[in-house]
Amino acid sequence: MENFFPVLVVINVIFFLYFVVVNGSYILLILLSYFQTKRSREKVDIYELSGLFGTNLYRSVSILAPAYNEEANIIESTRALLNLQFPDYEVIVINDGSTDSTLEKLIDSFELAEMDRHVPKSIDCKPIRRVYGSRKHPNLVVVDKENGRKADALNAGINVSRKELFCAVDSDSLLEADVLKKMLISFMEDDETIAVGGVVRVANGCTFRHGVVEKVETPKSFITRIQAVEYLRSFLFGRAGWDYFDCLLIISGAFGIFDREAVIRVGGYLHDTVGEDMELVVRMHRFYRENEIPYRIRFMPEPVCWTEVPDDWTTLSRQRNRWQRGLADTLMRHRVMLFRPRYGRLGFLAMPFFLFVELLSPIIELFGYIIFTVSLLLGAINFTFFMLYFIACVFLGVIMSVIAVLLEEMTMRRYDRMKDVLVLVIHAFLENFGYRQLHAWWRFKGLIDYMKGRKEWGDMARSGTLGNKA
Amino acid sequence: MIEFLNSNAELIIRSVVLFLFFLTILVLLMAFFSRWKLRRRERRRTRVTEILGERIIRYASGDIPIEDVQKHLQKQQDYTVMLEIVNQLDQVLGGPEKERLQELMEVESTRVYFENRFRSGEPVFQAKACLWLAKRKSIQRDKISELMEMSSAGDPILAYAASYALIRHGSREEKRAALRNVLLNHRISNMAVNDLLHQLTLLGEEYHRFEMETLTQFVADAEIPPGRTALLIHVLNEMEYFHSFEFLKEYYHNEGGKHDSPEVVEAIIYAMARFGYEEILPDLQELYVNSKHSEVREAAAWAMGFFMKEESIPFLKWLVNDPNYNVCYKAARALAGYPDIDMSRIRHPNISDGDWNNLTGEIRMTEMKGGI
Repeated sequence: MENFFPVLVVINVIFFLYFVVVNGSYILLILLSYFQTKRSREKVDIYELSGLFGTNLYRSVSILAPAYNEEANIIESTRALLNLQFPDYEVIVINDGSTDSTLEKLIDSFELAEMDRHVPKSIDCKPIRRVYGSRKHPNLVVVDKENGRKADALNAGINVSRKELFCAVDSDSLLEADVLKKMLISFMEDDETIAVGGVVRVANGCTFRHGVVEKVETPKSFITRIQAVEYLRSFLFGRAGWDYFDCLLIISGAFGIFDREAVIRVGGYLHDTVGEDMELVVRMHRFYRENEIPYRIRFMPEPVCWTEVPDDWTTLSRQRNRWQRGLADTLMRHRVMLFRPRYGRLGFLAMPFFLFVELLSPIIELFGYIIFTVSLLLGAINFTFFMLYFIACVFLGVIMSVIAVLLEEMTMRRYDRMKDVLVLVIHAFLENFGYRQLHAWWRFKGLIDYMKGRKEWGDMARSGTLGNKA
Repeated sequence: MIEFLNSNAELIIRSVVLFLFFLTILVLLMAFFSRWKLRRRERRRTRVTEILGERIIRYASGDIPIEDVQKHLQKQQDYTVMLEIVNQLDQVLGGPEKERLQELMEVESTRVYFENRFRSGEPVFQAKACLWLAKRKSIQRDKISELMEMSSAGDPILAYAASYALIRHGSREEKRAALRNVLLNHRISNMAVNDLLHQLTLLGEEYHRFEMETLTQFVADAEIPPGRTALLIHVLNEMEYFHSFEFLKEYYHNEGGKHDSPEVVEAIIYAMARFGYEEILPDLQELYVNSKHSEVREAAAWAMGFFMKEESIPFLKWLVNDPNYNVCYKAARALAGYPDIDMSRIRHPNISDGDWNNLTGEIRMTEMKGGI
């Protein structure tokens, strides 16, 4: 048996090196995020914007909110969308064949009436049954269509939309009132901007009134608190860091602004993927690079969208499984971009990172646990070494999460109480014991499911957080 | 290597863990320290905003002397807050109140603060100092030459802010030169240029004659890229500078009407139609209806609908079958404007009956709402 020890040691060394590379790259992303966030904040109040709104020469926005069985939140979230501070925008809610009372609630609350609206088939989508206009809100349009999933609903919304830009949001999300104005800065900074992503934050635990966040608090349950830390990490140093390199590969499906023509040009959202948000962004990168058209895809660390996250383990596991399948699918579809000079930093930096770090990490992590346990049981490594290694992983995880919380403090500072920050720091520590391993398992299952060809979304239960009252 | 790792693995990992342990403690301490610091700064900012906001409003109304504001300007942060408040008030105040605000920009301590930023060499700080200069009543001549240099800077934010200040304080020629720099700077977006043009139009010099002349001069400037030329024509049109009509008419016949850039052709068609130049009709019907650029066909359809002449009807019916939806929509809209045309009898081989009904229904509804 001892003949296998050198092999086990080599494998452990490989894991260790992987661990160093992954965490090294995260630390680099943290540093870059800090500078990028600081730079972005300083620029934000330079442009006056007032001049723009004096004429018809600025870009207008359609907000697309697909809704499938969203009766718990739909009224509150639509009302919030109608209260944004922006002079020229329309809200298009797309009822994607809901089987609950989503449409009826919309019709009653907003006094909808059927209207004629010719919808050009710029992008393929399932048939639209009816288009409704609101007597109360002239800028609200509700589209009732056959069920075709989120990507299809967004494509229908793009076809219905008449504005230059569209903002894709989830119906269970709430935008802060000035987000459109802030996001427009990116398009104003550079004419070549074709898409901009903003920050998505966890709404669970917060109090909302009339579609406006009134009190920001950390969520109440363990599972949602862990997700609050994850979201901070993902947005504040993941995306801001990639923005530094001009290599942003994901704009969250919950909140992003796109140039409508640019999206139509690449064919809109794909129907047969579960990661349509990432896939679209990668396809846009690919198209513009291949056709040598100058473009920019940006991330703005300030504009905030609040979203309800799953508060039960089953829904969360389904969501993470789907995200992993979506990631795998996107990377497979666009594997041609890997290590090809024509795709620049995307091909040599972002795509390999997403492949080796984001996609394969659950396999390596789970395999690592097994090998480590086997090595321990066979005596190839001793218990002290095993524990020390584990502690090192925990410390690194804590450092990164704490820095994410710190970045939140330096940028948006939405958590007012010290208690909330402490709660996040404690959960950044606790997530290493059990949740992290479980998360790796869900993602690993996601990869297996992807290989089996599973493409369904799975149900998402809504608690109606965004509809709560103070 | 393996031998080394075997014998020293524990030592290595112990060192890593120890390092990470101290790093974690350090990060935690820093997190709490910075939170404490940030919160202190934030609380102070809130307090300063409240106090300065109230003082500045009272000072602008003439209730209190400038010294009452000045004594609250103690730290760097206070100046930033003051500029933010002044920027907000600047948009709503006028007359003596606005003049008092400008005097506030002249206070010695404010001047020193922003002067340092102006010289910092950091584009974002310099840009903010330029905005401060823009808010002042007047600025020294030596600043103008520096601003002029900055208006051609590679950094779009700095170029934008410097031009903004020059539009407020420069001579006519300097304003023109700054705007030209901006128009030639491809890194500045059309929306930002439009913002500056709007500032120019707010000056209202000689009933907008200066602005109009400046814009027309740029339209004729061969070095200005076509995208910008189209924007300038759109601005002349949007701002309803009817005095520019003669120039635009000449430009249309000499250059604009057959420009290589469809953006310019589209812009000039809209402007000519809005200014009521019916002589454009033969070109619309013969030339632009068959343009290979959909935006030109779309503009032609709109313009024909604007003039609503009988002879345009066959051309509009032709455009209803255009493969581009926007052209088809504009043509249908134009046809719907004719009192004698029954939209249900228009042939639409490329559009299904259901889609056609939706299209005409939508047009009817938009007209009822008074949309254009």
